Amino acid sequence: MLPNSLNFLALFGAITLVHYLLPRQHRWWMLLLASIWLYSTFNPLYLLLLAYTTLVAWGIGLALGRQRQRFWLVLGVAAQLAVLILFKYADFLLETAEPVLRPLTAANEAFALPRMEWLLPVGLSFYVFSCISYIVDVWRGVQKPERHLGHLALFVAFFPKLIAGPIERAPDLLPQLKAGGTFSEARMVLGLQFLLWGLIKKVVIADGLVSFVDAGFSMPAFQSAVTVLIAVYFYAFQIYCDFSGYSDMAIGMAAILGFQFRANFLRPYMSRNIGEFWSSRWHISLSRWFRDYLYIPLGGSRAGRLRQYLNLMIVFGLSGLWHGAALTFLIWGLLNGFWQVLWLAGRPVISRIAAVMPERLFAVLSVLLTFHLVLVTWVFFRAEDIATALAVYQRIWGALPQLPSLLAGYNYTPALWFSLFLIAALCFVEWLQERRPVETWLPAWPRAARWSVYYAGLALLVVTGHWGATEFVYMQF
Amino acid sequence: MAYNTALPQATATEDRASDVRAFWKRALVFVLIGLALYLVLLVIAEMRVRATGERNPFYQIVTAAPEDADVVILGASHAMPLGFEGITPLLEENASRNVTVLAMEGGGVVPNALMLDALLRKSEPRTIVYVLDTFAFLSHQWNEERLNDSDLYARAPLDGAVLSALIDEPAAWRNIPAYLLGFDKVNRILDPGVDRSEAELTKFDRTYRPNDRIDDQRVAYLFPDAPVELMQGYVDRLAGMAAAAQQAGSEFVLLLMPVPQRYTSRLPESHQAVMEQIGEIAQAQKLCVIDHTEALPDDENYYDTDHLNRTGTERYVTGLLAEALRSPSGDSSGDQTASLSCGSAR
Repeated sequence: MLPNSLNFLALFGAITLVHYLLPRQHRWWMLLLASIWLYSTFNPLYLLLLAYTTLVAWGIGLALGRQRQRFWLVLGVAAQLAVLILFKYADFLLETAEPVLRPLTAANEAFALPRMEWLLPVGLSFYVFSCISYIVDVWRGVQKPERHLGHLALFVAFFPKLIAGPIERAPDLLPQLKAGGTFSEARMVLGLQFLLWGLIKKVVIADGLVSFVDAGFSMPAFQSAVTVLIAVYFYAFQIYCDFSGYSDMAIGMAAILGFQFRANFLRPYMSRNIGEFWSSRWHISLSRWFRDYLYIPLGGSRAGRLRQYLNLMIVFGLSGLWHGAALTFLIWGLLNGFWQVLWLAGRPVISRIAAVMPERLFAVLSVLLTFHLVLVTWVFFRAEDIATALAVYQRIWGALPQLPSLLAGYNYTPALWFSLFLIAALCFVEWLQERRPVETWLPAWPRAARWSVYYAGLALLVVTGHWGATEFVYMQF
Repeated sequence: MAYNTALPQATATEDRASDVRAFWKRALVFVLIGLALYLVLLVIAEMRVRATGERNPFYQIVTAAPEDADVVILGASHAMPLGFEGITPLLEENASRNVTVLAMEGGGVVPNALMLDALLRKSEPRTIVYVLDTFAFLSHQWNEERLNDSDLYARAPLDGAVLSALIDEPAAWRNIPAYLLGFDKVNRILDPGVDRSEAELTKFDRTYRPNDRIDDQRVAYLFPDAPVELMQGYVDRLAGMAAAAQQAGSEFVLLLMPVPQRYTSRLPESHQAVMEQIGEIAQAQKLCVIDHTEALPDDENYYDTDHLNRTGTERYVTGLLAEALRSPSGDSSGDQTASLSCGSAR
């Protein structure tokens, strides 16, 4: 059951009520049961994997508590990654290996490797990464081994974050879950605001853009260049609103229940450079996971410039594959890594340009350039295959000289204008947030004005929301 | 790593009990005002539905005048062209009877039984024609699943007869809250959209160019691999519909509309099995069965694989169908292709 459905929202209301009616020491099991039940609504068999990853993390944690041996660390991480490889990458690896092995076999043309064709369990990459971080944190001594299996199971399966993050760390979340959550009006109201804003992002904006994006990415060679161009730009906002919408909802639900998650998105398209985009604005919990558990252990920036570049390419390549078992995701990751390397290498030149340019102009140009660098990579992220991605670039590039006339003659439907208006409104809100977060001035408004804002948001959801969507983009990762 | 700037740092202590009570009171006021505002939206949405939903079958049931209760045609998409632009008046003129078409796309026996139930609570039609499509007896997709398609109720006016019919149909229970709350109506308040039949209407003037692959796909789509045992329950529902109509004093007629031979030749064996069971029901309940399957064999009469286009529909409603309706017993004897099998009529 997805959090953007009315049934889920009604159920969440009931869960919240029961949560606060229960004594704090008994809240964990109710939340655990609710999490398990909600996850089983996708497919009850998924629970087996959830149980496996949780039990492995719990057992390895206890073993590390007794003997801090590297063996347990390697075993634990390998056992977690094994699930990911089997369920997510097995077919991709077999498919990639097939043409390589074919010339070596006697059967040649008839040679085919078997396929697993297993369904990728929803949110697998997220909870496997949570479990790995728990094991590594226990190994590093920043987290005590959790003896209570139920508490650890709740940390892994806690429903607001289970299917698409944020990837929370045990030292932050486990103590809160064990404490049972604290009620505070300020946090409850903020939680509701996050939930509402997340829903608007997902149900009104992201799902409203889907049809335009699908139209442009479906056989782009046969679409008009403007349709493809609109699809590319809209996809940047679709994926942002889809994913950050989910994160906002998760943060909001956790806050309503009295818990606190870390920020996962901070207005990423306001980034002034690609380094800022990845380090502190886009999918922050994943970027920091890779930084803490891969980039720094690889040597980070400590082993010279070239080694740092190599580490970045490794991290971004793997980050691409984390998103999906396909070459398009790998290219997406490597392209982002390449932008990072380019930015690091070009920083002296960029500083010199900044010094001779008016500050505001430089800031605006930096934001626009960063946005477009990211935009270029999203094409690979969205396209079905490499050929489709190349066809998208080709279609736009080929029509560049005629673009002004094509744009002028394009058939702008009311739905398209409405989508453009929503994107403009989103950008305005983000700009406002960047200057002075809404949370800092809205509480000072009179109650009638504040409530009017909330009712307007709810009306937008009810009247223009697309409630039929059956997935979040990121839940498949 | 910083906490989200928007959220206050975690606190170990909860708010005081009096503060909590005050919060819940304010929350209750907020919810009540919200419900009142929603009610306003619902009223506007209901007015919009009543102003724009004339093609919706529920709308037609709810707003039907007593004199309209003459011939009511139920069925799935094959019957929909009878309700398309300009066709119903043509049929009425030729048959000299008032006709209401309540057919719906993908509507199997169960949704049609619901429609009939609501209809009989509002009026007493003289003749109820059920257009038979055997696929409707072989899959949940056209029955229970279609009944639970929220699109079906998005333009259905709020009405006691429809509500009672929903309550009496267990397969539709989970839609009752949605129907009462009217969320789908409010959600479409700015753009009520069109009923599926209106979307089909845009193809009505086309002529189909036969294509084996498309024909095969169409039959495969209509007849998914479903166990044939399913049909017994659905055939029983048909018997129940006939009994309900007869009990209300209406004549219940089964009609097989024209379809091209390239379509009938592709139908699976389960089609014949359903027809045999329906034949038994018709005999037992003395139902009139009118078979016009082979009446319009040429492709020029169809806008796609198996639906009549404007040319075909006009030929049909001015000819065989008008003739059959003029004679309620279905006794349209003559040299036309209709092969009649009527048990008895009122």
